[in-house]
Amino acid sequence: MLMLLGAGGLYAAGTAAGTQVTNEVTLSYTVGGISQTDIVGNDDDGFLVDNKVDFTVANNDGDQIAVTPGSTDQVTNWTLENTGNDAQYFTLAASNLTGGETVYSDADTADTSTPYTITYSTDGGSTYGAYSGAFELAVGASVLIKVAADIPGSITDGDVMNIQLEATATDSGGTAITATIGADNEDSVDIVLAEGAEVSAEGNTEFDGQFSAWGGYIAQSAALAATKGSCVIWDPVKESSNPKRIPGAVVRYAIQVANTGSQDATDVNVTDVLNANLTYGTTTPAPTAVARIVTESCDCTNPGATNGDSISESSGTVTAAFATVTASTTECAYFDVTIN
Amino acid sequence: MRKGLLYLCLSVLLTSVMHAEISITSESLQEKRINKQLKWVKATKVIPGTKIRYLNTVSNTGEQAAEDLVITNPVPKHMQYLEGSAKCAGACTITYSLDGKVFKAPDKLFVTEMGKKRKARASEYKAVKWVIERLGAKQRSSVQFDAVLE
Repeated sequence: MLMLLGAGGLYAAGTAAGTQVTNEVTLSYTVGGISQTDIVGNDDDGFLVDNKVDFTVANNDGDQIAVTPGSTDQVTNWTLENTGNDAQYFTLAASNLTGGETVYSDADTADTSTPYTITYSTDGGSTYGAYSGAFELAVGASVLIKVAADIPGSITDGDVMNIQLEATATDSGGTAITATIGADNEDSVDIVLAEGAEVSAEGNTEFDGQFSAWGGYIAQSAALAATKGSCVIWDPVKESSNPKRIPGAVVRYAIQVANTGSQDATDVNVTDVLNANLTYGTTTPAPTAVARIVTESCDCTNPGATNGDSISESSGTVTAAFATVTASTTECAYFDVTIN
Repeated sequence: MRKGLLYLCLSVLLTSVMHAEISITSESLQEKRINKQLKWVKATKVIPGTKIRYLNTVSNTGEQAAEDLVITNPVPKHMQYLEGSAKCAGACTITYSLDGKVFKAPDKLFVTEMGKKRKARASEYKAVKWVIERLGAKQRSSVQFDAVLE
């Protein structure tokens, strides 16, 4: 098993487990004004430094990772550091947090798919290897960890998927270690679980040989809504003065597409099957037909200038092709039809 | 002449009988809660950050007083002296050393760091010295200091 060496130095986490610490004291004195031979006393081999099992896990992302619904292998980044005074084996486990648990001020509203793929780097992030069970960290050493998750396609814009990464101190076989119970023996190196608990919920407590940190994902997608309206532009009797929906009249449809999401929507096609009593376009003497997409909220009788996107018709089906509906933007597709 | 010899013999006899039997022992202790009370017990469960009390006991089981007792205790390796923790059971003078050789009062200990002289921190003390003027026959006394495991 590879022992990972860190840059923290042997005593970065305190005196190494197993170190014998002894004390020696010297006494000099006189009797009747005559110096006597010095006397040396000691504390009988002192004590043996026990194994302080201490470590931390931290999420390095600083905020939820923005993800798109349906995306795969979305990575969160973490660090595990052995801050104890002896080399230590660890196992890792990632899991979804329960609804409502807050990370980076965002409450959990959804779950990622599971299982997760965990990889870790022993060289500061240059290369990552698959996590496959207990691995050993030297005193003061740390590893960078990536937890990759698939994002369900069913989540919506703004959904928060918070997750937990928990490290457990184990033996070389991956079995969790426990603190030495009962009276201590100065001649043996006992185990003292000394790790803290970064987060207080989800059953995380200090001194249990486990340490958890939280991170997560936030969904960012487009949120589209389409509404359809119409107005009469012209009729053969009154022409443009208070026209009515009579045979031969021109009706303008206005289909409004609003993107209230946080991401742009691209290649948005809106189709409209015309009623059999309508004919796409206009004929003379009616006004020239309008067929355009405009970056604005619909204003049926006063459409703005085209944004270049196209509207087409085929066999009674009108297709409005919105190239990009930018986040937090509304566009409108106008087209004129004639009542048969 | 005979009288003089008698005094000499008595004097030699007294000197050989009236002597000081001095010993010193050292204990390393740590605080432990026993029955809801904190007690100093033999140090056994020690991890970095644990406070250890070093208790040195001087005993005179002889018939004659010992004077000018100088007890020198280097701060053990891996330990850091805790400020103000050195004490003695009776009257004594306590000084400290940064090199184990020269002992001074805390306000006279300085170190030079990056070209600037500053007062030494207690954690930088390398040894503690207690001076007890006199320990009478059949008497015992103790000195102590606390240190933290690095």
